[in-house]
Amino acid sequence: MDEAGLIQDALRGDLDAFNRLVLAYQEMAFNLAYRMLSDEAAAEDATQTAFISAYRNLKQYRGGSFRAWVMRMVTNTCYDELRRRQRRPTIPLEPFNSAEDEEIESPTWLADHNPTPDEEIETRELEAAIQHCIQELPEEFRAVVLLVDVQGMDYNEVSQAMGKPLGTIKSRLARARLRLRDCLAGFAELLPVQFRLGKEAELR
Amino acid sequence: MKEQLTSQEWMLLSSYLDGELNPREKTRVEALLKSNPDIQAAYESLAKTKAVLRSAPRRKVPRNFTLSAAAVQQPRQIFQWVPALRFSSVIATLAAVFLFVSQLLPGMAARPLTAEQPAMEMLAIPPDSSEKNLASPEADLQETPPVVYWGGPPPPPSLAEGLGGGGVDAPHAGGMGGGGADPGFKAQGFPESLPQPGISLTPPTATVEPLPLEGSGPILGVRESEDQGKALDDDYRSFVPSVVQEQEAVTAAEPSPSLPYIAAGGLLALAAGLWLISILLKKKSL
Repeated sequence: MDEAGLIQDALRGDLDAFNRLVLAYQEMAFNLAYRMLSDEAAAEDATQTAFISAYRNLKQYRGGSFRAWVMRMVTNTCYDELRRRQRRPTIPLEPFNSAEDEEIESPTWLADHNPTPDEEIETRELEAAIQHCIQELPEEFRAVVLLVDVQGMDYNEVSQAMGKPLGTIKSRLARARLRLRDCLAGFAELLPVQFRLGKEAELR
Repeated sequence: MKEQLTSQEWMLLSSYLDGELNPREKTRVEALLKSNPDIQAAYESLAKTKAVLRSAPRRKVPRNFTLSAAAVQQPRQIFQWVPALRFSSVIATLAAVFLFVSQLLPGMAARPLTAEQPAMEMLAIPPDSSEKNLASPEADLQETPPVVYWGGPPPPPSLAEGLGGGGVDAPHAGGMGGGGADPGFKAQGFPESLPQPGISLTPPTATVEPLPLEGSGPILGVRESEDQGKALDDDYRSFVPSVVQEQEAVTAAEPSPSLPYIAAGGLLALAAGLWLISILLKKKSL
């Protein structure tokens, strides 16, 4: 894919050229939005909004990593959505356990209740644990760790995507990893053996 | 373990994990990892954390996010007026408050017409009105109403031309009055079918040959026989209508005491309306 050529064509108003770029980055954008928002429908909306915003503001692209520039659009859109949620908090659709008179806290209550293989269950639970720990992070930490550890971007790209200096990215990433490590330690039984930390790995 | 490392050391380990250190920092971290088991354990914990995150399954996109021409159209420009509407509303409110306050403060309110100001004082003759009339008769000809002359001797042609007629005994009566019975003068600009022959009107180009009057009495505009042919005090007759007009203009320009309150109320209504429109537009844009 000639990314630079497609960008130039898109700058001249070629929507098809831009759509080819969309197809190239939509999975990355959607996964980032999903990890940021922890809601598939909201992630879908955010991804679409981010691509529309990217097309409208394509003239502001000043070179460098186009992927980082698109991810910046996605993170900004997710920040807007998170701020909107804070302004208008909603009550989650949690099931109510009438016997114990309390809500069931599992976020996967809407999942398919058909029998599934054990591996699939473990994978789901592990993903739920990871997602839970990611959501516990402050927004600015969350974006950095997702871009580096989940999306595999380098520091320069993340710096460009976040609009922050390299030192800030390094600092936020280290602190985010520390918090994630402590959080994931609480889900040690869900982690594969090779991922378990210290004593948990030895006990297995 | 966490407490034993400084934040700087954690940052170095994290960057080392991603291969983002310069050669000097890299050498330093590698030396630490070899010499300090706690740092080694900390590094392994970071590496496993990163591996866990990397192992998170990637979600497949539920659909393609390609754009259509309709989707990338710019939003309606009307929503961009919301800030301007709100700003205008605030300005209108401030103006209304200023008007109210200015009416409440002593010395700033509009001065009403009081009994201490005699009405006749308003009719005081401007000191230069007669001089102005004499100095610029042409200007006055346009403002003063025509004065009807009944009878009298014809004015000299030199005065009647352009300045209006006048009596023989009043050489300074330029600009006012009708002409005499000079056969050389013809009515100009006045209808020939005027039912009152012998009446002349200013402007001076209109001159009608007078006819001898019959009878006497206090008829408006008809002079006594002994006064016929004499010029009236033209200065007085010229300035009185203009003074009346000026008085009317002053009266019309005098601000009503309630006018500022009405204006402030209008501004407040305008502010409320603009604010309401901005709220409606904002709701539509969401």
